[in-house]
Amino acid sequence: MAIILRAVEIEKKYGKGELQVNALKPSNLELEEGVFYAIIGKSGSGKSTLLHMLGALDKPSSGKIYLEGESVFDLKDSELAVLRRRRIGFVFQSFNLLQEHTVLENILMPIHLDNKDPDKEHLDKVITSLGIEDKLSFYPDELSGGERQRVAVARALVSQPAIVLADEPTGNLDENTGREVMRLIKESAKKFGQTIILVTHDLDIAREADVVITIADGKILSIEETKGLADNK
Amino acid sequence: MDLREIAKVGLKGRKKDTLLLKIVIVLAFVFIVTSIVFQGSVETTKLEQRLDLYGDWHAAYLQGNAQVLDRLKTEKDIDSIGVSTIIGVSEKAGVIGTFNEELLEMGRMELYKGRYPQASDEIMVELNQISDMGLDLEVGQKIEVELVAVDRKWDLTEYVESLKDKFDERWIIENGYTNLKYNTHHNVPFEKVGEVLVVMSANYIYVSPREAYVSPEMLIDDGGLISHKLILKKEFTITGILNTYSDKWDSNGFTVANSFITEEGGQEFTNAIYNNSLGDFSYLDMKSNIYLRSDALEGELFPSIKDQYPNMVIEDIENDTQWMVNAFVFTFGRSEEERQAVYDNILSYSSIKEKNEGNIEGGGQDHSKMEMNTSNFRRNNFSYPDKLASTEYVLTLSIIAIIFITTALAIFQIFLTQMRRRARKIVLLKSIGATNSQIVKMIAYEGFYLLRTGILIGLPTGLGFAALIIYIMNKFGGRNIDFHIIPSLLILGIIAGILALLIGMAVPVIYAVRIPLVGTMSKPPKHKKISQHTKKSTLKRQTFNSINLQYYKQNRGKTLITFGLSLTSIVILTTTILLCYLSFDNYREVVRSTNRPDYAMETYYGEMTIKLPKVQEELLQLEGIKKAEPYKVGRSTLLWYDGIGDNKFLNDFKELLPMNLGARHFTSYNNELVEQEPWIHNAFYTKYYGIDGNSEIFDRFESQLTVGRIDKEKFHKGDEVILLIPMYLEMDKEIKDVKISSEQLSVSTTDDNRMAWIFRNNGRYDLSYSNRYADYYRFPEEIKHGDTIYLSADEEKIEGDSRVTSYVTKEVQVGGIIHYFPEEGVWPFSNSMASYVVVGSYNGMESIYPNSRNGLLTKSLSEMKSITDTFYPNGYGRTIWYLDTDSQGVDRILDAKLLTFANENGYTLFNYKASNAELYHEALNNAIIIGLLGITASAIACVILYNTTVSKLEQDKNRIGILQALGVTKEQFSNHYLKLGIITGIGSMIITHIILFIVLLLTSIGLIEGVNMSFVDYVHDIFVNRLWLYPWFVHVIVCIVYLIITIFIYYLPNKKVTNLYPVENIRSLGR
Repeated sequence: MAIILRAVEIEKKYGKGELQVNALKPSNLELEEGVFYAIIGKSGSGKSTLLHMLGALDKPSSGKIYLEGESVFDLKDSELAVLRRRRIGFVFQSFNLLQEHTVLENILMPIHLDNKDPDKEHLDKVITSLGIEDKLSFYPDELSGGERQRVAVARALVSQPAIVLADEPTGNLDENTGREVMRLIKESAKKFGQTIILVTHDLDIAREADVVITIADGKILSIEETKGLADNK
Repeated sequence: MDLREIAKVGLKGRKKDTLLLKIVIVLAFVFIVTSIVFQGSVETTKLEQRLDLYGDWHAAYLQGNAQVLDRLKTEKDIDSIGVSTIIGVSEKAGVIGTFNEELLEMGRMELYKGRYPQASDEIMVELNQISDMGLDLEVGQKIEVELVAVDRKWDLTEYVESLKDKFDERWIIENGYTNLKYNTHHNVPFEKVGEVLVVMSANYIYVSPREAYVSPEMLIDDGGLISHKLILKKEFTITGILNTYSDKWDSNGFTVANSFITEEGGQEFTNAIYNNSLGDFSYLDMKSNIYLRSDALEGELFPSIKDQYPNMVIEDIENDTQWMVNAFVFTFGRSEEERQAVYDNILSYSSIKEKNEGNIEGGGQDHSKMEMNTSNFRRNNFSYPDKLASTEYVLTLSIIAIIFITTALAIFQIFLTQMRRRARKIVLLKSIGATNSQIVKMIAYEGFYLLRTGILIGLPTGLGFAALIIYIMNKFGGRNIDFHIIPSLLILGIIAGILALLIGMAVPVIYAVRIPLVGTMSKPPKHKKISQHTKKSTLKRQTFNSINLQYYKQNRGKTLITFGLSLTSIVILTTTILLCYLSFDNYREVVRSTNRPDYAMETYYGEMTIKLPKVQEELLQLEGIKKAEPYKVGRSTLLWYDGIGDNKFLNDFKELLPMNLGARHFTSYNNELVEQEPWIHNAFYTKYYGIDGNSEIFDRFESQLTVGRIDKEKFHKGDEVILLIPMYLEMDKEIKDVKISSEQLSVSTTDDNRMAWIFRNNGRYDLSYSNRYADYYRFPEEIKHGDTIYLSADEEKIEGDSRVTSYVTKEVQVGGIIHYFPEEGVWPFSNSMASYVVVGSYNGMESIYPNSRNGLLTKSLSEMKSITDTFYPNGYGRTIWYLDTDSQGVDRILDAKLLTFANENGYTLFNYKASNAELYHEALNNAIIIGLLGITASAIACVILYNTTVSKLEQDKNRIGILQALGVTKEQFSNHYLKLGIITGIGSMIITHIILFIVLLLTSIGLIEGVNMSFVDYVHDIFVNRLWLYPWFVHVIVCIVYLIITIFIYYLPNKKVTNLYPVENIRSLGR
């Protein structure tokens, strides 16, 4: 399978001088198209930092990230924004829905910001598969945590991005809802051939991934293919 | 680390917030100190100037006697008493009075030259008195002072009654009253008492049969004493020339001395009055002006004792005794009606005889003023005006109040924002055991540190700023303001600043105390709750703009706060400009709209026309004189036209005018003229202003013609004239209870403004030359352009040993009429509201005032004065110069030069500059204070706006991060905030202008009394009249600057946020 995302010697430091913290030590990573990656590690290990940089939401202190062969952080601001809007879908742990907008508005926002109309068939599919078709005119604060996360997933998937990144998408959910959300992400990715990169500290969820990347103290310790990936291959 | 340290470190840590707070508190103190010191300096300087001008006495009993003085001496609250005993009136030196040390001190008498008198034969004379008498402005001159100490008319009632016994009705019937003869006798015995020559001049009357012999002794013994005068003569040396004070002090018509002699000198005169053998003058109650000072009571001295000092009872013999006897004689045996007719005739003739027009210039009397205070005991209102009512006092208190409110609001807003940001830290402190009182103490320490900075920086900066403003005003504004601090006011200001900080901090402190250890105090956005959700909503395509619009709609509160703050800033700024403009209202109304000159000079003779350019050149050579415009004026011009009898204004005026004033306006009251042509005996008295047809004045008049046009050649020849006839509005309300005596009317109005005053106060018409009323008032149509009018003037000449009065008449055409002045008025017409004023050429004026051609010729000033006073009161006309200077300030050097010029050429100088400058500087002071206040308040509002915008942006960081993650570019954000700044700025400006317009509209309603105005009329009135001379340029610049600042305030902070990567902004949620 083709390499969709490549990180070369990316590093993230916070602060200056003696107070400087290496959130992510120089790391290399190559991620293939259509594969489900899980990044696991303890709290503060640097997994979210890595995810943010891979999703072009944060800039590495050094190193480069290539998406489909293009150096992401060498792009102009406007090009980077277009890339975020078209090629990357991001599911945040705390949903990050815009409270002033309805569910449907939130879901369609990336497409509308791209000055496009949604593919209605695809939209219906996503909405139906996430089971939020009767919540479209609700505001986020009228939904439960699970429902909000589904909306966040729908927003990430609706523009059919090449990569879906999810930062502990089940972290704020109960076990059953969490499983349900995971199932939906996986199903959608499978259906649309997307690459999923998911940060979690839940090993059960990680086991469902094709590749598990373990990170500790800001360093990638291992990248292991699971049985699932071998089966797929 | 103790709480003080935590507070200190915290302030250092929150650099930006701390800086904002410091800016606000420093600005507040700077402004408080600047305005208070500036205001205090101006007030103190003004007070000093007032005291220099009007004296430092608190109250005065004018024309009091020895008993009043003795009583006042016993008043315990009075610290010093200045006494000036009035000795008498002299032709040369005016009113002669004594002085004491206290009077010099509390009167702040300033010598123009020389020294105060020390010996009994030394005198100091007021500058204007010297000028009026044409004396040299030099000390050391010897003058013989001849003063009238007693001028008494005796009541002849008793003598007239005795005639009834002497000539009974039968005798009158048999012999006829024309057979009566009234003999008068005048004797002048004299005597020298010490150094004083005493002359008594007495007049007696004795009525006898025509053929009877009457000796002087019979007259003295059996006749009636009409009047007597006691004249005192003594030679004095002028030791000093005193700067004029008598026309400035709050004396309101009471006699005050023009020349001062020592008390010993006064004693010599008193001795001569009481100890001469010519008569018994012990009845004479010498009058003194008694000036009082009380350090403890100051302005309150008057109200505290006024009730104990009522007015003096004055023996009032006002009848002209000579005429009283005449009337008796002529009416003896006649009916009551006949008697009354004779009296009326006598009165009107008497009025003509005493017709004293005084100065044409009229002393710049404001036609609207009519106030009288005839009390002997009075407060010095000029030096000590009622403080509570003064604009400056109200302004100072308002400034402190406004700064107090603005500062408190700014501190409140910034602290509250800060507390929200610091919520986590405060919770942390609470979670580790900090009590609420410790939190309060910590914040109080922060307040203390801010206050320290505010006072340490604000106080000296404010003092420096005030000193700078004063320096600039003194250096470039022609002012002479002394730097002065009023400690009590400064302390009040500082307390206001401290209180503002404490009050502003109060709510945020309560907020900090109430922050819960768990949960949040923030609320979700208020969106419309949807009761029935549809399965699938249809959706229009969202854009970045619509997303933002949705956000602002649902966060109306925050949006409105920032918009409101922006609006507040521009409202403050534009209101400041408007208030600054309005503070010049009085100046505009009194000086600019009437075009009041800085000086007017009037002489009692008509200067030779040929000499006018030379005089003009001399005047323009005086440093500071910018413009000198001459008029040759003929007084008592008789105006007549065919149909004058139907002129409703003149008829109404005649009807409303008290009878004894009729002769001053209409020739028909003069029975001597009955036989004359109608244009003489049925004319209206006006004035003829002669101008040069090739001058700028002519161009001005020509450009201001309401109707008609002028043929320059005819105008030059004097065949065509311009008439000034004001517009009128029928007031349509009859005011029946106008109770004003003819005497009061005579004193309070001039011949020029009397018609307008009477019409207005009787509810008949309102007359105006102001273009403001041009659309609503009507133009009188009694005389039209092209009509022929007859202008006549007395041609007094001496034939043999008597003066003969005949008339010169000229038939002229009315070329054009000025009913209103399109923009600025023309002095003095715009002030006096005189009707039917004739403006013609020098030739035209001289054709009916022939003596005017001669000017001074070879005669001396005193000869000319005698000629014009005695022989040709009207024939010579007058000459008036209107002078403008190139500065707004009072120029004492120019004053002195002009006074000398006036003195040398027989002019009377009218100085309007001091009053113009006072009005201007008063307005300027207020404008500076209002301007400073406006700038400071809007600067504080901008700081609040900036803080709110930054704070709002920080609260929006999460949303911005999400939108960034969803693909919104930096450019989109930048454009959005730029647009937001522009929309807010322009929106605020539109609303501000609407608000200001509404305010102006509301305050315009009813301003033009008696006129029904439409909305369009009001708009026209506001923009053309009320905002006449409004500084639109400044207004536009301020709006542009405001717009730029607003855009920056909205635009710049966004850069810092949108330059961050999405995740950095999203993370900020956890702050």
